[in-house]
Amino acid sequence: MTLQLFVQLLINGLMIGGIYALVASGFTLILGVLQVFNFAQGHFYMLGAFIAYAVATVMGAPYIVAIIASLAGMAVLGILTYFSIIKWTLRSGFFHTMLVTVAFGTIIGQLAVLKFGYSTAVVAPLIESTLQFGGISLNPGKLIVMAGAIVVMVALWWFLKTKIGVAMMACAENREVACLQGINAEKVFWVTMAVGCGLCGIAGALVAPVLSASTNMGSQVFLKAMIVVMVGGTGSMSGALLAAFVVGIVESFAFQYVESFAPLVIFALVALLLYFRPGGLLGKPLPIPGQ
Amino acid sequence: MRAKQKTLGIVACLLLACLVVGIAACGGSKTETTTAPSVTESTTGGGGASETTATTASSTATSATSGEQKELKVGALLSLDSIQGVEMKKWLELFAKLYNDAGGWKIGDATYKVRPMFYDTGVWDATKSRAAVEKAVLQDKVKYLVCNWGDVPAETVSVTEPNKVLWLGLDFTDDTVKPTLQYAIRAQGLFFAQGLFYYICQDYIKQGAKSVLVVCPDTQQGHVGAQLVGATATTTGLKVLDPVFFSADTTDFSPIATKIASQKPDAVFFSYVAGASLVNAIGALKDAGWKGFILPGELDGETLKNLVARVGKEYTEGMETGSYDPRNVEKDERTVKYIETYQQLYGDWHSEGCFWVGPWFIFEDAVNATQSTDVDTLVAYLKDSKHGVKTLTGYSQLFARPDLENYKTVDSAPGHYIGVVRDGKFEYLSTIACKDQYLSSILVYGLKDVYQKYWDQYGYPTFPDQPARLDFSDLK
Repeated sequence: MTLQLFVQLLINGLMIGGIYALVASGFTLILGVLQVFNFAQGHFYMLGAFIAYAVATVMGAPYIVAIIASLAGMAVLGILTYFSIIKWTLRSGFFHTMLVTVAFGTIIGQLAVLKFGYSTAVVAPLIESTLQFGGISLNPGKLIVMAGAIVVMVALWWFLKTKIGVAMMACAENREVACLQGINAEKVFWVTMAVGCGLCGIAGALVAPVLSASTNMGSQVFLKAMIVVMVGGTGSMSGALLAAFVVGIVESFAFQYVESFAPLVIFALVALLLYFRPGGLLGKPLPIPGQ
Repeated sequence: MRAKQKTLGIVACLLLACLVVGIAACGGSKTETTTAPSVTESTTGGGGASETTATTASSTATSATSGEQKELKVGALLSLDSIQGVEMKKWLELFAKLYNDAGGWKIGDATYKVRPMFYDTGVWDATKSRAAVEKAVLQDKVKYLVCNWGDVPAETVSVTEPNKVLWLGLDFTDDTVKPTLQYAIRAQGLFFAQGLFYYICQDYIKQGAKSVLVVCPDTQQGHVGAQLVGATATTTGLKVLDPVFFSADTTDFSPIATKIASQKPDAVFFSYVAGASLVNAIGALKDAGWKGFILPGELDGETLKNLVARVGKEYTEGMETGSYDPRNVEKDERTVKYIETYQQLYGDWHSEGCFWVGPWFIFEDAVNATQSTDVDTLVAYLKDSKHGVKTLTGYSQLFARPDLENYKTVDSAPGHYIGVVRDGKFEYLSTIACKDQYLSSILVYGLKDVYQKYWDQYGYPTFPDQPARLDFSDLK
């Protein structure tokens, strides 16, 4: 393997890792705080990309507006989802909420197919040219995705230090004790949904100029987000960030050698990791539903 | 407090419902189905058929009441979840409408009202496909199944054969061209369809290409595609590098593009890659800094538009591709009328169904030539076919398959266009002649000895009068 190829594969891995980080951090936040396994997470990501397409390409607004619109749109949808669906099934237990999100995700997916069909919604690249250095070729859009992911993760880290962020972490740690300390659990829950879904919106918006928007884009990313959460550790934000980049890089290198068997390599490594560290890299073992 | 929470929940539910209804109301732009005004059948979902008016049919699948026009029921097994299925339905409704508006289809001494009947098969879903064909054949007594998309043809013919139903369809396998089948004709096959890749390989070799890498999804179709495209490229003299397969649900093509670029091919051919995957794959190739010849398989108008938006005009310049869009190509009065009627009826233009409705024209030709609706008469005519039939996308012709020991004309060489992308737009280059589809495929599959033996016994086939690049002497 030449150095150029190595660097190229590394950059590919970091770019897709950035996307996984954003989707997985939202997913792990909701799983950690609400203990809801949100199967609709990938669909929020897909909708975020389509909102960005609508705002930037159809309406011709600046791309930053598209990113904000995706963030706001998905945050609002997250809040609506909480108040209309999640809230009423939370008490019924882990599996009920999980099934409800499966149904909700399916509805979103089918509506998207109805609206957009199976074709692509292409968002023109933010920077047309391709960067070339030392035999390495790079789409500037990928750098934006990577930088965007890091900025968002830093902002999230800062957010989790605020009063509401600390309350979210407290609820994730122990909901009952947090409530006894005077934390408004309901407020924490809907804010968590807004943040978790908003992160997907940003991820979708960031990736749209690089990978375009299509109705099937969510399912694959969601699968990877689940892997990232398992590898990083449930509820661990730093674990999700680390695992996202690890998974992205492993995926990139694995394809070079084993092509479509790359997912097999990832699953094998995940199985190996979980055997030795059931809680993932930086987290605790997954909670046993009902306990 | 609890009442307030409930109110909040109800408001959230209402808002969500409004959002869902809003999206749905705006939806359907891509897969909208429009029923031709004069096709008056009722539409219900029962049993997977979009048309369920139960008619007690006679053994010839036509029914007539005294004083009324006879009815010719023509069934189609289509996946109405796919753009191809929806578009094919629109075309078949249009063909029926044109006949019915003109007072009916005159066959022999009778005039028939054409009644298209559609059966939703799902996408390669054997159970749903079986249910659809059983509904058509056993319940609705349809005697002609013309055009299909998304069904499982092996399942279909297992129902049509014992019931003596004519099946004029599409199949990606050779299951439906076996000599044991009596009523199946693969009127839209891809066996004799290597002309596109053959032409483009020749063109790219002239422009300096020496090696090619084939990119396919990691599916059964993809592997077959890689094998065929590789064989075509080898036949024309290109060096074929190891193909690259990718998971069908891939959205990030960066690792794939990096792998392709690292093998340094002169040309990259995509087989069974379309729509979003094609745009993302070519976009990733550009991002990986790869420059060379690209054959994107089929490029419909929308995919080309998306591709140009993604990679820019410069990257697509000179790209040769296949096309199924007859506009600005077909000048004959009949096809022009079809195109105009389509646009009047449905507004937006989509070319996704144009190629795949070829079997309708073969059916129409057989009915008109024999002036009969009798299935055995039609089959006898079709299985001894000696000429090409004009479809929406050029001529299509039935040929024998001596390599399968089937000496009847049961497999088609379809019409197809080749074009080049100039300034971000598709520019028509030529129509691939039936003769070239036929001969290039025989060359590619290495079957010239088998076919020569067949020609020695049955004579050379005749072809439509089209400019062709290949001749029988090329097979020597």
